[in-house]
Amino acid sequence: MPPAAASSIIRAGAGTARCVAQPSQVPVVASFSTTASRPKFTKARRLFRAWERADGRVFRRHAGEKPSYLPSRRREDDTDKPFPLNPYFKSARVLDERAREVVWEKIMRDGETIKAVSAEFGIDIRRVAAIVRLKEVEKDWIAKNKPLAKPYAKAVLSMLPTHRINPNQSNEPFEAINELHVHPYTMQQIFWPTSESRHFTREDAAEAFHPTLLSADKRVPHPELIQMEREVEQGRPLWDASERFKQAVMESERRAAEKQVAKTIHEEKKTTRVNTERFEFRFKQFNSENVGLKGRSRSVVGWRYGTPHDDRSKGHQIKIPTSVP
Amino acid sequence: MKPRRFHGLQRPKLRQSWNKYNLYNIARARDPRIGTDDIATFFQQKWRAKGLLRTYHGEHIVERKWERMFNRRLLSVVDMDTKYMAQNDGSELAAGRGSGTDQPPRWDRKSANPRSVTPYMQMTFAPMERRLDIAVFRAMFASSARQARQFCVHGAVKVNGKVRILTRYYRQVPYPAYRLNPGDMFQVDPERVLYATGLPKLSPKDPKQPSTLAGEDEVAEEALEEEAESATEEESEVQAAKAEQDPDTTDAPEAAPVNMKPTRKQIQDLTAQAKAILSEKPLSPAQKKGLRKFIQNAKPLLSRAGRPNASPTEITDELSTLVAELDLGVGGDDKASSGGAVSSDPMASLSDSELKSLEERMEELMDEEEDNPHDPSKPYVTPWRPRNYMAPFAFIPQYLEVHQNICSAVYLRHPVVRKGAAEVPTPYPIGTSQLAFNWYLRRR
Amino acid sequence: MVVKIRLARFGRKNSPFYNVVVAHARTARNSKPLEVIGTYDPIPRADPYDDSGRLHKDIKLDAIRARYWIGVGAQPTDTVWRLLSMLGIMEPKYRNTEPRIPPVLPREALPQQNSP
Repeated sequence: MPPAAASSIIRAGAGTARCVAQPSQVPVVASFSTTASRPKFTKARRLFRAWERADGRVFRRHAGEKPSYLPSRRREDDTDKPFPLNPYFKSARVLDERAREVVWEKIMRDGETIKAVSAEFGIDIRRVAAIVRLKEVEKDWIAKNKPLAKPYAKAVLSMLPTHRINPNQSNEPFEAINELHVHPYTMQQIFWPTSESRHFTREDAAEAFHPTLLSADKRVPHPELIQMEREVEQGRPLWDASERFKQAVMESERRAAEKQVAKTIHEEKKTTRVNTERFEFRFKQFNSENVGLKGRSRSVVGWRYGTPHDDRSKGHQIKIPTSVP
Repeated sequence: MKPRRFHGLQRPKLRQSWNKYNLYNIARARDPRIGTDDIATFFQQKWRAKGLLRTYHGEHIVERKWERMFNRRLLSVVDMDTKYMAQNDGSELAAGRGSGTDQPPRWDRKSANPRSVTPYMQMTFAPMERRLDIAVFRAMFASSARQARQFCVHGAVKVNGKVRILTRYYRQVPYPAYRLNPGDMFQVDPERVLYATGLPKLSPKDPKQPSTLAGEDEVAEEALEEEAESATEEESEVQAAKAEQDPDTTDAPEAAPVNMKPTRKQIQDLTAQAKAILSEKPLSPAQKKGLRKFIQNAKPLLSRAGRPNASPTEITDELSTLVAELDLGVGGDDKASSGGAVSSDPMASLSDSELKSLEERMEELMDEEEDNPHDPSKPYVTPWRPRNYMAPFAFIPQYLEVHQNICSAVYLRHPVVRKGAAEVPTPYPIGTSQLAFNWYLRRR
Repeated sequence: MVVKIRLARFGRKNSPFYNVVVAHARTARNSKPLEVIGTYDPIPRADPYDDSGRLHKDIKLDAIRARYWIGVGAQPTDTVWRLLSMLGIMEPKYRNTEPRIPPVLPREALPQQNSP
């Protein structure tokens, strides 16, 4: 036997002996290792621990009803920005439980229109609709005795900036409700010669951008609100104008509902339903001769011949479904 | 190659997660100032910027997928003042042009307020926010984007009330890459949400278990401390239960035939609860000792309560002292102290208003207990508490309407940018986003 | 050549989708047909927010053109025959669920059996 091999065996033996000998002193996790674990942290880790004990301590447990975000580098009063480096992202307020209940009651119990509630509390139309929808689900859960995540809701709402609504008073608006989507047609700079004396209104501007583009007054979510303000300008008393506003939004909501119903009736008229044991077959009538000049018009039904499948090219992402029915 | 840490301290990367290391990394992050202090080419600047941003925005999404998602069209809105629109028809903007009455714009520093900037470039990763997994994370239903993704894959997320989305291309569950459309409602299983956002339970076989390394590792020490805290809370809950039972026992002397059944039952319940805590919680030796003592001492009390000549006030007093001993000198919260005070005070010394407030408090406690019960079968610490370091990450973007009670949210619209604010949450400054946007324009 | 009304399979693997086409019988399945008169989605689907488990299949069909092509002698395949028979354009071919009435034998046959 060469001496090197022998010594290695001895060393191994010694190692195992040590392991067996000191199980009580050496931690269990390191029992197979002969080297002591590193006594010191790295610098980064040490700094982290220092931060955790000093500045980070306040974030460990949340106390109180106010949000606590990382302090901003720039100024002290920035308390609604979660990211210190990004002053453009603000933590928006959310409606508290009571406010959502008030909105639901206004619509489902008092029968007010979504637009009227939206204008009253300054909540976006889509948000009002979503609140009613979610509240209905919650009531359904309560009726079915499904457990709600109440402790979670309480904790989360205490960490977020919340907005309250007092149903009997005038409230400050929750968000901007009359926001206009910036249409791509309006993003171009166009040269439009016109006489200086011309009364060039928003209508004209819209037409200058594109012949089919509606003016901003018609594209905003609350055109009725502008009409109301206009009537107030003309000297109509506020209560009267707001009453007329409510009538107008009621009318517009009714028209939208009628349109929806008419559409369904029209669809239903075109379909023939045949019930079999297993499935219902729905035959929808369509005009196969309406195919355009080259037989490739957009209204053609079915897989089209001689056209590429656009699902693999960028920009025609039809393979991602556009809706969940 | 050794895989890099997800939340490393050496080469910090900002992530979509509520981890405390991530919080530290965000807190100490400096503006990368790409292109200001070195001589990097434009290509290099863009490359670095997009790399930084991609570590935060959907790092679990393949670059090619994101490239297909990216859209150069950035959605924006302008707030239209109804009053102004009612007063003016738009011609006022052109009035006086050419006759010298209009004011030319001045672009000096004072008038160019940074607040009036529309930060379009912060919208670079807006299409990412449409993804189901990221929306679930943004709605605060998961503690990280990766966890949100797991929830989708495991079928815990419903879209529009459905577990299955049947599409032309057959997909089984709401897959994490599903791109939400305005008006889509998504729901997450509340149990998963409570698990994701609640304080995690340390299992007895957890390597972080403080038993062996208690003296050396501070992490373990902290875990121990935390467990001790949770244990004291358990005890305060025991006391709350105690407080609930009081009206029965203190009312009892007034009635001639004393019914000890409820008290007996409650003592039994308390003992059972103490046993459960003892068996499942990793406690410090002193706490274990205290609990064992409580169980031991509760036994004779139980037998005495069974006797016909037992005095309910006496038994109540003894029980309250037992529970007070169990407190182990840790500063009891208001729950515990109120419970203790009630049980030791005789009924007669309380005024009517005090009684009333006491009853209200009890009802509150009972409600709380009902909503947030102690349940050892749950995978999180019960009664539920939010996880640590959650508050600084708590924000809900405006394009979501979230209903926390039912763990559901509606995707109202696509994120937009408006004057002074962009709706896409990103930890990086605008310069970095701008370089990344330029990278994805693919003119490099 | 025979003109047929048949299905042409499109869609993807495991997600079939058919065009209802009018084509010459000997042309390839997915070749350009004389006319596309409809589509047939064979995957049964549920209505949104309907938990009854009842499924439906969607078919789009230009019934007027179908009638015309039948009138000029086009021959539907079995599957298309089944679909057209649901609309009453064709007589049902298979699976007649009505109770079967035994065919009436010729009067002359009966006395032949009875005689001698």
